[in-house]
Amino acid sequence: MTLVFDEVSKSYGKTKALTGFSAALDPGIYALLGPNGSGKSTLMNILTDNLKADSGHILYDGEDVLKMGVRFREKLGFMPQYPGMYGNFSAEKFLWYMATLKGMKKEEAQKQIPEILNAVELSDVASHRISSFSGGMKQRLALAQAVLGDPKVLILDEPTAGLDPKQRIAIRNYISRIAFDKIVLIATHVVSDVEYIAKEVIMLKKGVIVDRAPTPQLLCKIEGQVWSLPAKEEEVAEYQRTFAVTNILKGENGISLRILSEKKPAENATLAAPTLEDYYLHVFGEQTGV
Amino acid sequence: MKLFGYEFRKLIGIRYFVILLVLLMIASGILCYFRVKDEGVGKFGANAADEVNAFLKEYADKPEELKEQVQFLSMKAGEKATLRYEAYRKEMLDKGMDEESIPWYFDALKKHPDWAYTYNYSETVPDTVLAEIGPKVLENKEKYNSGMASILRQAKSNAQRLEEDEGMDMGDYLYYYQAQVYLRYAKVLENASVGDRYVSGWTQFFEYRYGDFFLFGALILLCCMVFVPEKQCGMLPILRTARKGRIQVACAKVSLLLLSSAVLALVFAAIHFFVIFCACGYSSFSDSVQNIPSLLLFPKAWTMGQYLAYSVLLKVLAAVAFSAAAGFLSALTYSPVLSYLGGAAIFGGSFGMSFMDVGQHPFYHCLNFYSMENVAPIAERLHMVQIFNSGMEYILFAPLLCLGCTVLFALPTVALVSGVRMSGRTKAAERQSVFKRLKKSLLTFENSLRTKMAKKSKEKRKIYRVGLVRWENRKQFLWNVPVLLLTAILFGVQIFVSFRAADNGTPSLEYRVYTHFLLSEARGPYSQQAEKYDNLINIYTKGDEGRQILSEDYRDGRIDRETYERYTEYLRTIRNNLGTYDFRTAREHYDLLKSMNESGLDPWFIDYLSWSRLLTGKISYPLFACILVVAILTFTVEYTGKSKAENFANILRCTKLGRKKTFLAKCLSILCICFVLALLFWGVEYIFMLRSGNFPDIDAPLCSLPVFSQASGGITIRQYLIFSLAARVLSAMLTGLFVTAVSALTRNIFSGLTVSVAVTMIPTLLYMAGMNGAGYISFGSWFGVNEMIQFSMKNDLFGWDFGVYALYTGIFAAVTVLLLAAARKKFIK
Repeated sequence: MTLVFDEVSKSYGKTKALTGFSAALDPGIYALLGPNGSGKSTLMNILTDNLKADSGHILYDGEDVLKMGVRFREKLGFMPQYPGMYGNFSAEKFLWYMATLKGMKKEEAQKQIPEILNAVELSDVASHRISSFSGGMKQRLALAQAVLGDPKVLILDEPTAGLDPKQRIAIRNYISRIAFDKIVLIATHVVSDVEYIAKEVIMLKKGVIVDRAPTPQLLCKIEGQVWSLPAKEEEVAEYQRTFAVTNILKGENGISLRILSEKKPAENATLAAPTLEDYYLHVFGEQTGV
Repeated sequence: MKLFGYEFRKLIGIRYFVILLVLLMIASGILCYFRVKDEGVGKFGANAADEVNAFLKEYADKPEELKEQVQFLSMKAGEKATLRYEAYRKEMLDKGMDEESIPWYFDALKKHPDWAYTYNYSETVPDTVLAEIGPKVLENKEKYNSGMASILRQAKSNAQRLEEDEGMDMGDYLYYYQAQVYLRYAKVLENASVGDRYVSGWTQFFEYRYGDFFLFGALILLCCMVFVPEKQCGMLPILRTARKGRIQVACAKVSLLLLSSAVLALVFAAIHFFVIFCACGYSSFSDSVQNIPSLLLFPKAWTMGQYLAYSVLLKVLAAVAFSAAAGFLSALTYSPVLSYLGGAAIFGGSFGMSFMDVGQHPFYHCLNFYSMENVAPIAERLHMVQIFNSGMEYILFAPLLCLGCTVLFALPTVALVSGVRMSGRTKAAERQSVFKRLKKSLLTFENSLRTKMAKKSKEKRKIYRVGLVRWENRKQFLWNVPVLLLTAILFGVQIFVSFRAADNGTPSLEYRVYTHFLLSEARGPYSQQAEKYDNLINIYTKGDEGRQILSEDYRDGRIDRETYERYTEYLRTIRNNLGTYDFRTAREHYDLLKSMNESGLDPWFIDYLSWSRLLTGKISYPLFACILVVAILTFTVEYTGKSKAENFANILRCTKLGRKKTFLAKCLSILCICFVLALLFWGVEYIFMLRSGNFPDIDAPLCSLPVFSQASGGITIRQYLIFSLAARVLSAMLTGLFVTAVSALTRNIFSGLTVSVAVTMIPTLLYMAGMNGAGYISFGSWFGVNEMIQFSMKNDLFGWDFGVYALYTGIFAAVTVLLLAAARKKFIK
């Protein structure tokens, strides 16, 4: 099973949202990282045929997904960033409806719906109206409908937005568990969510892939560039002007700065283990103002 | 002031709102023109009114001479028209037209009124027009004089009675009222000048009512546009956290609403004034208002100019007050559907109140928004509202009432929009509207019930069938509580309306005579009963000769003794109870059936009253409203997210069956729902009608009913009954599909509803207002079926009774199919 993006491009007027995006994806979790406007949602909308690409193809097992049409959508599960649902439906009824839309058999739906509701921790409120759900509950329901039907290609746009840390971990583990025979594409700003589960991280900048590798490989690139530096309060502003300060921690023993720099920023600076967030800032530092 | 400016910019930035307003104004102007263009004498030239006045002046004090002159002018006009008709007939025959196809004299004259134009008195105004206007003006004068005399006499008598019998004086309201009536009307009699002049244009302007529908439509739109978009675009929470985002914004919005309403009222009034000026022209501003037939008993000696100023002022105030009330609902709910419905309900309530009996309920009849906008109901007579022991006339009270109403609703609206609680306690961040809090409480209660039920039936997990059409039925209708509630309310309205419509009332004397003295003896096909019917009329109407006919019939054995005695009894009854009753209507009915028989048909003498009532039912507005609301949700429900990214359609389109199959399922679903709704709503109407009347001879030809006298085919009443019911159901289903297509193309409840209502209701209103050509495009006539069939039979398109109906249905269906095709393409691409 392979999903291939072949020189996919899309422009909105003069703005190029995607430029020659090419990638080949095997089963596994792929994280799509990039600042706002980098083309993540555009790519996802093109893949789900909610948007038409200006050029390029997307191939699933060698066949153009546009030509496949319904056959590709049979294998698709999509969770948009702001999912719209029917407020007057209950969670259970909504999943039954989604099961119908996905062409599932009654027996399959009967088996999967309770399991999925349990997995996303909505069993207790399965009979409640969606309009009474909190944002986090709606998010989990949106994930539930995406994984219903055991799709082979799962597209998740900000799947953990609005969830508390415990729920985020639960969802992360759930995605990890189900992803072994699927191609899962996750677009997120919560870098820590994908740092440990993503097979590969694809960094998008202004519609172009700037990097693509497993997390350890990416982190190797900034090995020796992440520093921890104790500082006085009056020095912080100066350090911020001179270096890329990624974190300022005020503790009992004073202020500790985390700095991204090729050179040692000060005598008393010590090397720190790089994280994916550090790498993200390394790539997109100018855009984020760091 | 700046905030007001921004609010104004926000309002006019809603493009389709502005477009709709302009369309409403244009439609109102066009309708007004077609309504008045054949009235007045303006079309005969700029001096036409003067010519008429000269004619009136000559005969002002000589009513007998006027009668003779009118007869002479009418005779001359009739002679000329007859000659012109003969020439027209000859021309048609020469062209090879079938004699039976040539229109009758009166039908042809309706289409060519100029045939009767002769100019014996004036060079510009035809004699027929003078002959029509002259007597009317004098009649008006007589009515005015007698009306005034009667009022003064009655008021004086009442006051005297109250004084003598009950010891009342000016300190008692009843006495005060009678005294005021006397004093005011005495003053009017003294100062007003009525019946000396022909009043041009003013009657048309002050009596014109159809523009009010367009104005109220515009106001309802306005009320929604000022408040609802703020919430829809998600700006409300941001607005409320800004420094000036509460009271100042609220004041700006309410000010804009009230000012815009005033401007709209002025603009609509100006449009009508201008259109009538172009069509008819206006006579002097200083003519007395009492020259207008409906304002004959206006209790003030005002001129047209003064009344014009007052009526424009009251129109503006009434519009402002209405907007304040409807705007309050809009601010309370922040929902486009509820805003529309609320505004429509307020208008509907006012409209309904205007039909209340003015004698028993003058307050409700006159002082509702619709009547105040119209002004005439307040001005027709002197009405007063009691204030302690004195009173204030409605003419003065109405503007004050409007101002009071405005303040009453505007202040709470400001409070609502700014989020201030009545208790004065404040809450940080976003405040919930009353409606939202109620909704949340209901939801919590409902969820607790659902949890309890779910726990009880834990072992039996509900399995839902997987049919898409059923899911769509549930989504749109069965599981949509607000829609179900609305359907129930509208169904209740339908029951009420059907109940009222089925109220028989007392048939006219002519009809009772027909059924009792004629139909009871000569019922059935014309070919079999005509002679008997004719004979009976002769017996009843020819005095002694009639009695002789009866005796001869008995003597010659044509009737038996029992029948003879029965007829004799009829004759006695007629002589004793009806006096000189001339049986003219019965004779006309006979002539009508005779003429149909000569054309090759065989109509029946039947009891047609109940059938006519059943088979001339018009559009069911509750059913139409229900279909509109249900159908508009078909596709718009998938696009209710605050932004494009939040629409459920994004998920729907990614599923296996979420495109073509879902589109088809939605169409099938709306067809099913409309089919059921049509059967329910029309069924109620039929049930009430059938229970309240007499429906014999169902197999009689349809042309036996006078309202269907132009039916040329051999269709029976039974066949037409089945056809009309089937056609009504079909209309409902097609309408549902049409609105569904609009729903798919617009993807927005608000614009979808607006487009659907505009496309269907504007032509309907044009036809209702008398624009005959609009009969071809009147949606209301087609939806109710019967009205369009009658129009169709009258116009005989393609030589077929159902020609116009078939054409409209075909075009409507074709347009619907085209729209659906475009919608499908848009949905599945």
